[in-house]
Amino acid sequence: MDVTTEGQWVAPSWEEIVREHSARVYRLAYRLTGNQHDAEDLTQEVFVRVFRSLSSYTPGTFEGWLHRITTNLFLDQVRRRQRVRIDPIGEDTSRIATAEGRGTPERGYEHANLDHDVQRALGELAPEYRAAVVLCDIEGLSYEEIAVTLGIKLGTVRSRIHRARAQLRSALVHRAPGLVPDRPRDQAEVSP
Amino acid sequence: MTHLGSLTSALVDGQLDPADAERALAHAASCPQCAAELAAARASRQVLSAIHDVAPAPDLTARLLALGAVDGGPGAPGGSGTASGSRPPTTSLLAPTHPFPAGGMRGDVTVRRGTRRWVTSSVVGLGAAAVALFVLGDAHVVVPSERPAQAMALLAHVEDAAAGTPSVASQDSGASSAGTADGLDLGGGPGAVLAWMHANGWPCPGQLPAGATVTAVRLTGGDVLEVDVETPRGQLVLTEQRGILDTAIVAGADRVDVGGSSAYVLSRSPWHLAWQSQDTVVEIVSDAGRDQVQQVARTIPAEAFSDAPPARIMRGWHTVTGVISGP
Repeated sequence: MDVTTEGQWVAPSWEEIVREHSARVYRLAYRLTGNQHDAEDLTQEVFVRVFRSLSSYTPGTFEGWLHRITTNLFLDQVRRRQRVRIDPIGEDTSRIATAEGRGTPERGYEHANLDHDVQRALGELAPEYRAAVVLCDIEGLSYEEIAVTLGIKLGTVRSRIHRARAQLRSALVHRAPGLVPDRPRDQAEVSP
Repeated sequence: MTHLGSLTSALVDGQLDPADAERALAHAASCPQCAAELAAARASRQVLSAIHDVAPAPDLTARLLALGAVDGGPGAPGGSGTASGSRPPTTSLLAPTHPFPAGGMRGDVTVRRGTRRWVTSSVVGLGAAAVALFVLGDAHVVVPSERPAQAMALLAHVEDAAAGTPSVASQDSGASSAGTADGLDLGGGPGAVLAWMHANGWPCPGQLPAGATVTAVRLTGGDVLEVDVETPRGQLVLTEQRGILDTAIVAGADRVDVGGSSAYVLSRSPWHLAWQSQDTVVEIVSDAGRDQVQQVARTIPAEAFSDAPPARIMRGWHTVTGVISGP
C-alpha cells in the first residue's frame, strides 16, 4: 500500500484500494465459489464491507483482513445455504465451463481442461477444507495465518490441508502424469 | 516414531520447525509408506499452483469503483460526480453511516453478523417504509399495460433503435440536474450502467446475463428510466418509474413473490413482469426467454435490500422459478 516513508502514511483512495486488491479478492472468491457469477457477488459484498469500515482502516492489516472477510463471508453463505437445503441452481458444470473460456482465448486446450478438472475437484471438497487449501496453495499463506483467518487451531489447519490434498489427489488421479506440467519434482530427501 | 500422517503436508509446506522437520525426514527415509506419502504430498501440493490465474471482468471492477462514487465516503474524498441525484434508500446502503464497531476490521463476520445484519436490515427497512409512505403520499399511479401487443411494440421499437448507435438520452423536464443520465458512458459496459443506476437510487439488477450489452438508457423527466438490454437470446427492456403500481388494474394477473415484493405476470409471450420496489415500479419486458428474465428479475429486490433476510430472497427466487417455469 501507500506506506511510503515512516510517518508519512497517506490514506489510499478508494480507486487505489480497488485496483490494488480486487484481483486478489476475486481470485480467492473464484477458487472458493467455483464460478464467475458467485465470485463476483462475493467480491462485491467484500468491497461493500470494506467501504463501510474504511474509517477504522489501519495500514498493514489490509490483506489479512480481506482474506478473513472473503473466506468468512463464503463459509457463512455456504452454511446458510445448507441450512435452508437449497441446491443452488443446479447448473454448476455449465457455469464453470462458461466462466473458464472467458477472456483468455490464448489458453490451450490442455490447460483449460486441467483448470476445469482442478476447479471441479476443489468444488467437491468440504467448504472448510477448500478454504484451507486455497489459502495455502493459491494465496500462499502460512499455517499460522490460515489458523487466524479461519479461527481454527494450527493442528486443525494441518489436518484439513492434508486431507484436502489427499482428496484432490484421488479426484485427479486420472490426470496424474500431466498433473504438474513443467515442474520437476524434487524427491531427493525421500530417496532411500 | 509413528507414521507422519498430517505432518506430511506441514513438512512439504515448510511449516515444521527444523528439529521436527529433521525427525520427520529421518522417519520417511526408513518407512516406505511415509516416503510414498511424502512424494504424493509434494505432487498434490503443486496441483493448485499449476492452474491459471483468473482475473476479474472489467465490469466488476467498474462496479467496485462505483461503490466509492457515493458522496460522503471516507475513501471517496469529494465524491466523484454522480452523487447529486442519490436517493436516500440506496445511498444509505453504501454510505458508511454505521461504521463497524471497534472489532470490525477483524472481519469476524460469522460471529458478528447475526445482530448487525438484523439491525441493519430493520434500519434500512424502516427507512424504506418511511420513504415509501412519504412518496406514496404524493405518488403518481403507474398503470402497466396488460396487453401483450404493447409489450411487443416496445420490443420492436427497441430492436430498431438497437440497430443504431448506443445512446444515452436524458429528457429532463425541469431545470434540476438531479437524476439526469449525464456522465453515464455506455462504453463502460453493463457494469457502468448498473453502477450508475445504483448510485442514482434506481433499483438495479445485481448482474446482467452473460454477453448482454446495454444499447440505450433513456431518462424522462427524472422519473422514468428505460434501460434497453440486448442479450444473446433477445431483447430485454427494464423500465422503472417513480410511483405506485395500480394494483386494482392488474389484480387479475398472476402474482409472484420477488424477494419480498409482489410481482405481477402481465404476459408470458413476451414476458412482462411488473412489481413495486420501494418507491419505484419496475417492469421487465423481454423476448429473451425465461432464463434471462428470471436472472434479471430475481436480483433487483435483492440488490435493493442487500441485507434482507436470505430466506426471503430464496423463497422469492423459488416462487419466481416455479411460476416462470410453469405452463
